[in-house]
Amino acid sequence: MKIRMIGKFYFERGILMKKKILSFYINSNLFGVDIRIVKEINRNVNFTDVPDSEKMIIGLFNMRGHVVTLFNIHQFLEGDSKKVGGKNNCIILKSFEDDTNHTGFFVDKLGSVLDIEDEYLEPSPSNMSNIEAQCIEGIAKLETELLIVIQPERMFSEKFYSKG
Amino acid sequence: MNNVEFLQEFIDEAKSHLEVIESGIIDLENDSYDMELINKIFRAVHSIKGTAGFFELKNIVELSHYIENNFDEIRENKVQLSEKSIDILLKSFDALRDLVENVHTSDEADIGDLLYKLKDVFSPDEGNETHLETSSEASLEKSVNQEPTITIATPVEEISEEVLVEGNVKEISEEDAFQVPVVIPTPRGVENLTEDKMTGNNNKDLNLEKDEKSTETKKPSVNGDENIRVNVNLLNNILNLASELVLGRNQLLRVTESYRKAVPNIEGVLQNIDHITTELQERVMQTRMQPLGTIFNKFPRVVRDLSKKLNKDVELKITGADVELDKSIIESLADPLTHILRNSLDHGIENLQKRKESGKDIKGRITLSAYHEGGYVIIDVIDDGAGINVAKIKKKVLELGIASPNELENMQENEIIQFLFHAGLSTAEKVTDVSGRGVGMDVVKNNIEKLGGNIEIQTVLGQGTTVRLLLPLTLAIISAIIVQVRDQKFALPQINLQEIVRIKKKESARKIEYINQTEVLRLRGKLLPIIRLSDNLKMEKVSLDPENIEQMTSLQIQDEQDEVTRILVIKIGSRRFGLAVDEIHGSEEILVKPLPSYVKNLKTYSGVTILGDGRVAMILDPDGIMNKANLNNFDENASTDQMEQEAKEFEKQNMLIFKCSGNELLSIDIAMVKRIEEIHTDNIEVISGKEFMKYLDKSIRVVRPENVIPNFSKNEINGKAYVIIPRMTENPIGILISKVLDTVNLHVDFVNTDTPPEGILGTILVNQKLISVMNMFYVFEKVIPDYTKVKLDVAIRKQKRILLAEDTPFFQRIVKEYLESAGFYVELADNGKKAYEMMEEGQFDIVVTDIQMPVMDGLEFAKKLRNNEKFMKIPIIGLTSMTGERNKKIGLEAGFNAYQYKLQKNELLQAIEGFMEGI
Repeated sequence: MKIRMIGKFYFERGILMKKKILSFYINSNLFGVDIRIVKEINRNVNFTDVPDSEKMIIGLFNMRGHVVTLFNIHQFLEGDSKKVGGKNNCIILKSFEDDTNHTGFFVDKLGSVLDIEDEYLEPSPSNMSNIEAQCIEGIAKLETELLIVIQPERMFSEKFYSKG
Repeated sequence: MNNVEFLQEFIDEAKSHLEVIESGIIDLENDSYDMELINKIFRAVHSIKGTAGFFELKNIVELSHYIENNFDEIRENKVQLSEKSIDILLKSFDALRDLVENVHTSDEADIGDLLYKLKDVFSPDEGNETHLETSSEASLEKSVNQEPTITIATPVEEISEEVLVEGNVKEISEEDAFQVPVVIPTPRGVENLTEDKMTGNNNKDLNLEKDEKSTETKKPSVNGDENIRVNVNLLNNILNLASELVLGRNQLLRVTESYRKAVPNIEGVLQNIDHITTELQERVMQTRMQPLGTIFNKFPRVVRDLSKKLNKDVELKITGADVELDKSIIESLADPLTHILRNSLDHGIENLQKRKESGKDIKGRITLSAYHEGGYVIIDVIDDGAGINVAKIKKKVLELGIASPNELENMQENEIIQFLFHAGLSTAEKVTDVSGRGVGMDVVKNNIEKLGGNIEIQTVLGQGTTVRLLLPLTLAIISAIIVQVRDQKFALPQINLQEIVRIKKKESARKIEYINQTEVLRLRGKLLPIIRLSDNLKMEKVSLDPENIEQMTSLQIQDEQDEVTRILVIKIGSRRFGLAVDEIHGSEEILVKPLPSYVKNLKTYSGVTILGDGRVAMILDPDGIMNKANLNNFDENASTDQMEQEAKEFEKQNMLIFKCSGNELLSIDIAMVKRIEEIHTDNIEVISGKEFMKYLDKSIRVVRPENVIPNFSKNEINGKAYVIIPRMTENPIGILISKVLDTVNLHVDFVNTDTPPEGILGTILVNQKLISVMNMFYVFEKVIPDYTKVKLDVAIRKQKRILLAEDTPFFQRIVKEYLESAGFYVELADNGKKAYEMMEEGQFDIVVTDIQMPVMDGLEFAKKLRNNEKFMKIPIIGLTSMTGERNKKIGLEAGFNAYQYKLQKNELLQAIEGFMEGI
């Protein structure tokens, strides 16, 4: 709700708020993240498993000396713990707090970067479970499908990932 | 403005001199007269003076001149330094430092008081000195606050008399201030001057000079710091990139390997890149590391000043100042450490009276020591003070309502001590300005934890307290051993590693056994609990990469075929355990990175690192692994007793089974083997009919047993062969064999043959095969003519009768054989009881007995002999196959005259002869 209102606020002032959303597929569903929080897309990621870690954590990966924690976003979005996505499509996010905590996740297929006006970003439907809803920034109705814009930083916060 | 540049150099240089001076003065106080030290200080002050003169910094010149004069005096007249004079010297040193740090305004500061005082350091006039101190504080305060606006003149003489009369400085000061209406127009100045500090100021001078000063424009201050401030994150980034560059270089070298000859000049370029990269990484690493000394050096002064203030006598001992830690950690340590030290001084060390009463040395001791342990840097602050009274904490906790009496009841002492870290709790009965306000330890704990460290307190009431800081080596480099389980590599800090044991499943000598479902390994008489890393980390978690799954299963299959377990023996504190892994890849220097916060809850890891192939590897935390495996209650000693019980029943030998040139199966006790070397027969050199090989840069004699022992089938050994390097020889020889077949752990029982052939102790049966046990001593004697060292005449030896009590057939035979070959008459008993009976019947000159025997063991046998008047003086030599000081002590207490190792023939013979001579 908040985001939408902020969008309107700017809109009324004559500034069109647009967001660039990097879209990707998990199974066959379309998701997206704000491109401003994406650091890079990595191919051929050689990650290391962290035995005994939370199920949500796939492993650690060395991105030019930075240790990136890779999350199983399939598990979160689709409840599918078996699949982690293609090894060649890894979205790495900018660190949320400090430099030591980079995060990333595998996706099945990368989509294009879409311009989404805040105006069209709707809050998650009320019948969505609370936890899931908290991690969704908004849902955009594209012509043919729905784009769910997620907030990975929330998803990767401790209270969520340790439940996986 | 070249001068500015040079001036900066002067500041840097002066600072290093100042450090010398400060530590010098402190040392002088402890060790009142040391010519070397005084000269050192003198030189340092002199160099400051010299350079300052070049820049025409007249105050610095003057002050250092006076200090120099004082040291000259000390040097010339060998004046003993009183505490007072040390105080003055330290204060003038402080002033000098302030002047140097504020070099541009240095000439505006007034140092008159100090100079006057310095002139008078050795004057006996106490009152004068006391007063001077007060006013010097004023000038000191002034320079500290960098207030160039107020100058304090020096009309000291006028009031010094009054001071003497009254004998109370403070009263006089106040009075004086009252009488002379000092008016300082700048409010800034007033703030910084307290009433008693204004004493003796000539206000006219003050105003006048002040006006002068304020018209001057402030010069930009040259920062005295010789370092450039760099954001830690930036340094981290550079460090990361440098490490990645190393990986990149490695890849480059690998890829270009095959093209090196094809592309001209590429070799040189690659080598250059190689070197530069390595150097770059090293340099970047260095930028972040600093010795702890940078903060430790400040503490002698802190302790000195504080103990004065508290009227205590405290000595600070510092060790490990050269231990290096990451700069950011070092910086954040200064405050917590100061706080802990203050606590130790204020609460820990008792006052002089109390120390005397409790019979302690009046001088309190605080030790500050830093060292590496278990992948951590540990800093201990140890005091020999009163310790922490747990009852007091309890009382306080109840007062503050932090915990209920019920809760306290159930708490361990160390849990209660944890309350010290609770905000608002202080056990000091009265609040001093040093400590005791109840803020502090919680802040200290927070700060240390922020660094990823931990703080522990151990205390013994009346004896002292130890505060221990455990700090991670974030960004530090440690030696680690790279191990592999399944398809994954881990790094294990080498510091905890004691040894590596390799176990083959087929091998019966060493195997993993079970005690109550716990896996254990017998290792030199102790039971070692085994933790399988794969179980500990619950590694059944299936990797989701199909490629990996395939790899893993193939690995597992290979594993089962291989059937080799590698066990890393790890020691933490007094506890040991074996960590079973699949493979060991060798050791590497690794860069420790902190765990990402998402996996921080896993206590089995202490960090992550990046390996040479660019992949992340987890660094194992042995402590966490041990805790997770619940090994805490594993009592090594209890199980050792159990083990000893078993050992008493079966004394087993580890036998090495091998072949020489023929087909005979031969065997010797592994205890006699130092090493087995692989060799090619081409590398054996022949010198005047004797064969030699290279071993550890030496030439050693190579012996072919078939040439020494009669009736051995003789064939040529060509190509690959092995050489047994035996123990127990002074001049090493090698025994050439063709093949090592196995090692077996068995209870040696000789197949009954009446007299074994020469050079053979007997024949044993292993897996339905007959194996001859070679008599190594026979071989040694044949090869080294004077191997057996006996002094006594053969005739004498022949008259001597030895009683040998030994239950193990193997040792019965080997010991009896070499005693007899030395000419003694030997009678054998199976156990202590039988031996005692034989002693009563027969006549023996000396007793040689095994320790572990059925029915009656050697210790009991010896005690029984000693209790009988008849045998009180008979020499008893204990024989053991295990070495250890503890056993030795018990044996000597039981009545043994000497203790010998079973397989050390010469030593045993010498011991026997020693006693014979005495008879």
